Amino acid sequence: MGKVKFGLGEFFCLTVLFELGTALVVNLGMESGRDAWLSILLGCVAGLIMFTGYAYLYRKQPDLPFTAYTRKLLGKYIGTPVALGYIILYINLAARDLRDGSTMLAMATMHNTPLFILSTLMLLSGAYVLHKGLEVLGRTSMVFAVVVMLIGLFGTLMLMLSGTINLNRLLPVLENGIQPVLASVIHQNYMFPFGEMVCFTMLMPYLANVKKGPWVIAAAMLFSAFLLSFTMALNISVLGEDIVERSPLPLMPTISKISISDFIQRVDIFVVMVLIIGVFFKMAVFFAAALVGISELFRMPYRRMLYPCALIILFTSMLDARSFIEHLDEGGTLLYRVYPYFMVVIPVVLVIVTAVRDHFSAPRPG
Amino acid sequence: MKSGANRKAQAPGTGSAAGQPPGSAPLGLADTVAQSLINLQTELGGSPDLKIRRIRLGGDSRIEAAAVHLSGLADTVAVNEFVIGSLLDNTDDLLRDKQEDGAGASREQSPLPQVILSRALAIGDAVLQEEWKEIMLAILSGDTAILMEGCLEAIICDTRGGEQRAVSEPSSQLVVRGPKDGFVESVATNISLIRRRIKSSKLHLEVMKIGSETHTHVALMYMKGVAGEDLVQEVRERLRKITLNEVLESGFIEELIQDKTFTPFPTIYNSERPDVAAGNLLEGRVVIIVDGTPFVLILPAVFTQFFQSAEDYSQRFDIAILMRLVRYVSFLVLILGPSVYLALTTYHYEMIPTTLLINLLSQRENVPFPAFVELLLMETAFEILREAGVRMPRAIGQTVSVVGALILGTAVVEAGIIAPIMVIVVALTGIASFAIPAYNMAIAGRIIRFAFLILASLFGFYGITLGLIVFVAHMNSLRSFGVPYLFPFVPLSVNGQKDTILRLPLWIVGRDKTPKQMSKELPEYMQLTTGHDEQLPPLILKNDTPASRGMEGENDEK
Amino acid sequence: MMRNRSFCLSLALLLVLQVLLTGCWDNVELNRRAIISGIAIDRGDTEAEKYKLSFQVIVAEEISGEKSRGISPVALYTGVGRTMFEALADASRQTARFLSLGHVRVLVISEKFAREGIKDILDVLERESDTRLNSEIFISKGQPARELMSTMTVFSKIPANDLVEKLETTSKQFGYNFRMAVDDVIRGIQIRGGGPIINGVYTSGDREQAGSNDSLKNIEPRTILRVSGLAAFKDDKLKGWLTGDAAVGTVLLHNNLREYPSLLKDKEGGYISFNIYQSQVTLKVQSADPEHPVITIKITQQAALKESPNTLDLTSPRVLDELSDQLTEETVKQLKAAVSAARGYKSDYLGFGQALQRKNPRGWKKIKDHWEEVFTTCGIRFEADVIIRHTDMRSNSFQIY
Repeated sequence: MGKVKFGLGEFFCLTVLFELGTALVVNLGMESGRDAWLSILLGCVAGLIMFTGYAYLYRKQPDLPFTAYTRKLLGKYIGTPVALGYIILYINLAARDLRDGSTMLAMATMHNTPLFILSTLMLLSGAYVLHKGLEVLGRTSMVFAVVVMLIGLFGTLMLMLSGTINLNRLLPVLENGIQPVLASVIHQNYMFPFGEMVCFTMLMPYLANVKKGPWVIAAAMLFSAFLLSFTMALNISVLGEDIVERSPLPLMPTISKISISDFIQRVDIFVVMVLIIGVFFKMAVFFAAALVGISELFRMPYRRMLYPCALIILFTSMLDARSFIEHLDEGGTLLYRVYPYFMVVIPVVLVIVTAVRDHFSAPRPG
Repeated sequence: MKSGANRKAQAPGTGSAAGQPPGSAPLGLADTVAQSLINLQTELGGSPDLKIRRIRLGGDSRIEAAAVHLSGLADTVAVNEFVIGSLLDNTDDLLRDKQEDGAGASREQSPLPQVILSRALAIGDAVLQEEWKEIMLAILSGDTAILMEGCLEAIICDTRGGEQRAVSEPSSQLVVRGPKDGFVESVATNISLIRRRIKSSKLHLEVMKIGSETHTHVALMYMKGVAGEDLVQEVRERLRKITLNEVLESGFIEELIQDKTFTPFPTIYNSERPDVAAGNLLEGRVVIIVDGTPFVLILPAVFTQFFQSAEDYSQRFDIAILMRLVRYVSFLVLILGPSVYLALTTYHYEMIPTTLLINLLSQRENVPFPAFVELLLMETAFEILREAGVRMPRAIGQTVSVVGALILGTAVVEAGIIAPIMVIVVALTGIASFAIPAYNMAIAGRIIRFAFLILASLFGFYGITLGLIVFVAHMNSLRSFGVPYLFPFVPLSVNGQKDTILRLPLWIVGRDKTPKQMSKELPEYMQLTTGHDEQLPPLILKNDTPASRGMEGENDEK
Repeated sequence: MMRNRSFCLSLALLLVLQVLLTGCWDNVELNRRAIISGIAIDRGDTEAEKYKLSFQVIVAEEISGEKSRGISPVALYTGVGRTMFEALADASRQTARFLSLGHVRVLVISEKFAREGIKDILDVLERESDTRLNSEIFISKGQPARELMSTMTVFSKIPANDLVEKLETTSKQFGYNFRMAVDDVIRGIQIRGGGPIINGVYTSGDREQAGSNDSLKNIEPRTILRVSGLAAFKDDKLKGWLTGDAAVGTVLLHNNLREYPSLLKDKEGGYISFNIYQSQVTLKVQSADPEHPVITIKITQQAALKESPNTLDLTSPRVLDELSDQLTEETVKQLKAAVSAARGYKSDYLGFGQALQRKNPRGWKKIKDHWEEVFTTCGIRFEADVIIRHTDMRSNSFQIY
């Protein structure tokens, strides 16, 4: 293995930023109405269950990324296409995330700047950071996790002082029973953003501490789930269920309700900053996962594929869809039809294969 | 400390042996003093400041001898009293004794220099030297060489001295409370200033000469047992690898041993203050003193160190914390001030409170330039003013700043070319840059400010945010001799926080802020990598085989 | 590797150059903007001119500039169109600068429009990223909204700001109006069987000189902007105006009244004034039978005696108890007025339905569709409690001997 290693704190922050990513600003889980905050928590539980599988695989092969153990466990002929599939998945996810981010940015503030330029700038910065190395990405995430937390704290405090929070808007809880919540979890929340943790299987070999690593990641997932849930609850209690449901970026109008004696006002630019930071790190993690996969699969230096890969991501994201609506619709389809194979089915198969092998090979040496 | 033995031991190690062009006629010590002196004069081109004093040793034996030194470099009193004086006074008896011994003269091959060395010379430091180059070097450094008839060795007496600047208050890094002495240009004085503060046998000193023409003395100081062994070894190694003709300032050394050239951030701290050097030594850092400059290098240096001042420790801790916070804030103002203003006014005007916005709007009403150009103009003007003020003699400097700041500022606003708020923004960033105690960090901020300005003008807060990410990532990719640049923050160290932004009372800070402690807190994979995986400056690399350093730039791959 | 890197570098450089060459897209210099402080929305006469938007644009130089020309500090531009956006486009064609909606603080909708329905107005205000949800909405009482945006005011050079400040002052003291922002109105419209209540505004005095400085040259301004009355809505349509007791009661029920004067007529003649503060209303719903819910309005208030012309013995607890009983009655009277007004308009802008929904979501679903009927017939109980804390700096009033 390379000597690049992530400390636990860095991995925690990276996971949190990855999870918050775009999820913090979008109307996550609004399928379940004003119980969205509940469905996020449930989604996290589902995500944690899936993560147990990933962690199991990691514990068995702490030095290998996911694309390596597909080949190891499934054999060269099945494993290689599967590994390739994962690389394509990561590139696709990175591209989709980039598109999400740049479009939201265009909707929120940069109305006239071409999408291509916005994406390019974001991707170039990502490529620069990855060029400096994976550990730099991890360490940078630490700084910006703090920045995001501070912005969050500031926003919450200001909202409280502005007196716009009305907790009555969260009531009644579970008006239509648990059904819509579960439906929302099944449709979206287990996958987004928690199922996307599958790409961390590519980065986990760089963890400095095999034992504690998965626990730290799980804690980070839980922590970010609480943050997301809190944010959604905040959105709903400020704006009311209906407005949140109809806003693609509900956090922006929420924060824009802040008004402290007309001096601190319209601070929604902070939300845009959070959006940029989140999208950046999410995209960078997917990007890194794809790069690690490529360099592992094709035995190529990590940096050589950096810029070609960046170009692929850029054009995938640009050619992805004609409009944001189409993009989201496509995302929904992928989320329902394609991603479950990669995030649930194949890992489950791998887990079973590993378990079976262990079971048969264990008694023999004894 | 500056013992002759030490110098002699170091001498073969310097690069001079390899770099010398082969002369047509090898000049050297000749049998006769006269010939040797001619050789000397030829080598120096008949320079008139070469002072030769021909004497005869021993009343009757009348051995020809000469004492040679360069006027101005040598301490005249020492030369007169302890070299020539003692030679004239003592040799009579000595040589008479020797002659009386009779047989001894033929048995010993060159008894004369030995005898003089051991019995006659009253100077503290004198050695025998037969290497011509070394003799030349010694003379050029201010030593006195004693040449003797029939002797292929010369006695080198340490008479270095001459005119030096006295120890005075440092011109940079001023403090309200704290010691007022500063380093001077002489390496010996500087070492003594540090020694005087740390009376410990653990304080080790190594001296080497760097520069094939200048032969500059470079002293390496560290606290044995406090500074990491591998850190000292790495510094030694890097110093040894320098191939350079001239070393005129510590900046030359700094540029060649730093981990990364292409970064605006300094990764080696410099100081003019002995108390700062001593404090850093005690914290386990290595100090490099270069002859001819009052600025010593201190390494490894992380980002937060550039925001500390010697005064933090002489003031009350709560006040020190406040002052440090002010410095960090002013750094932020310096790099982000103009760009945030630009982003706010040209992109996110809705964020500005309405009444303030109306005010700004009316100010901008008749300004002919776009805000970006306006800012760029003012910032450039400010840089010009500052540059002009720095180089001016002190008396004129005052005028420059008055003319620049007051007259130009008001005139520009009066004429309606620049909005008054712009002057406020630019002046604020300018003042902020002075609040940072380390000058090289301040200029780093000044450069970065322009980058953010361009980003903000093109993309508003989007550009600024991405710029910040890249900026932090860049800092994270830096290391100073193996210590990550943002160390106590990233990777996080709770112990390290005691003396970074905060300055807790001394009894809490205790002794666990040394780099050795720091490196203990660093996870194992991040321990002193000593820059082997970083790109070192090319001059160092020339001397290096790629194999010895794993620097292919693709070191992360398996 | 080196070649590869330099290739990538030049590619990156090309992209950067491209960025630099094509210029700045969203960059708008401050002096290219016309900041709008308030918008008046009137109903045009025809469908093609349905929306008649008047934008109050700030002329910054007149407000704080050194080279002011002595002209009006704001300018009014009017645009018409079939939609709000078209009207905005129409108006911006008349101005030299970009009309910027980022600082709109006031939206005044004419009563005529409000009676027709305001839903379509709000969509663009909510959707557009530049406008703010915190803009206050007003209904112009019986006059075109435009007139309110073209009235000079004394205390702020920008009339829209003056209006907001007036609202703030009245909401803090002596008045029953409170801040109603865009999102509050939208949520109000969405209340099942109810609607929003919006502040009313009108000008009193001479309209002749309202728009010029002449109005202000007198000690007594010729025209005064007044915030008064609450417009009660059913869904998005204005049903009527609440004033007096009904208005006070309504705002009490919304828990938005901080401080207001209350007067009692004494037996001996003359009035006793109180300042009521710290008023707190809680709604309790008994909904075992959702068709006939019983709503209990519980209110606690504190009062301070401010004025008493009589010879009452204010040192006696019994007298004060009696007074607080009377105050309680007064409060209940106001609440009752509010409820009966709401029932009269068949509009649950008081939020009883929401209280029921919180209490009994299942039952709510059954009666949701005919909540209007249930609302007009449901049982309502009042539990009021007013405490007179003190009588300020004197005990008894002074008398003539």
